[in-house]
Amino acid sequence: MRSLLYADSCFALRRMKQYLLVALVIALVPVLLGVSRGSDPLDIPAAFQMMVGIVALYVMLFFTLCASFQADEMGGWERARLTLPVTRRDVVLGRYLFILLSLCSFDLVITLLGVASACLLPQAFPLMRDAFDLGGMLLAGAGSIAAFLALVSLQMPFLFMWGARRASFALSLPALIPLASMVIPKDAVALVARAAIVWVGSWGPWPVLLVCLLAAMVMYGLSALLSCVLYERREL
Amino acid sequence: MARCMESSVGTLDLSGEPSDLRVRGLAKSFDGFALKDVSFGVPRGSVVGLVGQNGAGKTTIMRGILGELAFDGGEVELFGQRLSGLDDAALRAVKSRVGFVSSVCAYPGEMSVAQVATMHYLAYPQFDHQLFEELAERMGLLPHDPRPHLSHAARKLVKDLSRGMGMKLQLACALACGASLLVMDEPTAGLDPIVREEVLDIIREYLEPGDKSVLISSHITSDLEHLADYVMMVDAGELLFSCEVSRIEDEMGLAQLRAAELEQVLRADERGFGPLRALRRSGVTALLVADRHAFGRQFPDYVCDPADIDDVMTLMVKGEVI
Repeated sequence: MRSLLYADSCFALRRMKQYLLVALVIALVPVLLGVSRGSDPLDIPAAFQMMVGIVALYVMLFFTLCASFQADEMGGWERARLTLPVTRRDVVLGRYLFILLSLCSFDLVITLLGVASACLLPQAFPLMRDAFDLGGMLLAGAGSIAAFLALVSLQMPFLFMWGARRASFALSLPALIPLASMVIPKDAVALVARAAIVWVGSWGPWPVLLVCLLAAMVMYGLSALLSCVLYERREL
Repeated sequence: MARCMESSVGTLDLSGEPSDLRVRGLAKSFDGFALKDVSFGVPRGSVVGLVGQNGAGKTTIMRGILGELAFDGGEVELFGQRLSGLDDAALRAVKSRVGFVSSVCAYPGEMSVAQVATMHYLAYPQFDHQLFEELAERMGLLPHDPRPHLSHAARKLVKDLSRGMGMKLQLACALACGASLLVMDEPTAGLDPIVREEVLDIIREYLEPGDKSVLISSHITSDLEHLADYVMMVDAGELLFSCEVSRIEDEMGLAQLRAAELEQVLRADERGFGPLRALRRSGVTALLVADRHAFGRQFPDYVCDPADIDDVMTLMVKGEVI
């Protein structure tokens, strides 16, 4: 499994600069546009902490996930790697481990960038507040890991069952979320949101986050087991 | 009589010899193609050549042996162990003794030469990095350098390697991983004659200790004539023919007969020369015989040249039984 993890890492590291650049452009442009207009007193540190970090993290994860599965199908690597002393289970678990490590690494890098920017940007832009909420930043970072782990848990079994080409719909799953919001009744959404706010209020954000992280990890583990079964049966 | 067995099963009877690879009753169905009841063995210390037309099933057999695809039926045994009964750890241990070389370098294009070597180092417990560097230098993949792994060539990406260089990279990795069995799927396809000869020399050196085996498929039958101990032919998913290469060269023959000559041969009461196949071509019939010396004694006026693997392949596929 180490060899497959290494192969995935080599591929990802070679693309890392472009992923990071694209992610930061996507995340930063709306923020900087708002700052340059100056009309809306944007809460830049909070916006930067929340939006930039989350968006950048998601974009990098999306690229990494797409690219790694698409690379499998280029040049016959998907079949050739099975000639190494690895099993199909190693292939699946290696990819799950790679995505998890990537997610945590990206989150760490983006959080550090966020902390550095939140310290430096108020000096350059007068509209920005001096104070920044480190706790909020870390909360957002950890919460993002839980949310994206849950998302990837839904996507990966399809990708292992059918491959990137046939299961491209799974990669576009996040795009379906806005569509789902149009279908699900607004009253139901409001009810769930109020219950969540009450729950968070009574427990505090960090215990709730811990529960969410644990739940996401369990979901990720179950997804891995399912993927092992599906990949074992797949005709390459 | 040549030690050849021609049958729909086509198994060379090597049951008494220790084999690094043995397959029994392999079967696999795809749309429009089916592998049927293929059984053979690769004796320890030998080279077995696998020949056949395009689409005959050679690559399917090789892919299944290494676990790239699952057979519908049959059994694969590597180093005396049935693959189907092994747990993950045992399967990895068995596969770590097998090296694979394909006609197409399928490593991820974004990996460099050095990274591919590192990947093999992480995969194979017995990977010898120094041997890899020696082989890579010898084959021109890496420069002669005190630290070749830091050279520009080592940083070259797989996608930028030529076909020949890609094949050499695979070969260097396969040999450096300490494999006892090499499985090679048309490794010399598309290579120039000089590189091909280099590759064959390296394979011969690999075989020198006598405890290594090779299963090699190739369209370049002259390579097999110089390298292989046994040759098997697959056609339309079936093992058509298997034989020692030396028997083809030393005993089998190809006679080119005109109609009257063929009639005389067919009318002969005794056929100690063991006619196998005949192929009629514009006035002349090519007749493949199992023992050209016996044919020569019985028909001294007719020319019977030594057969080669190409002749056997052509006659077995296109010829008719007489």
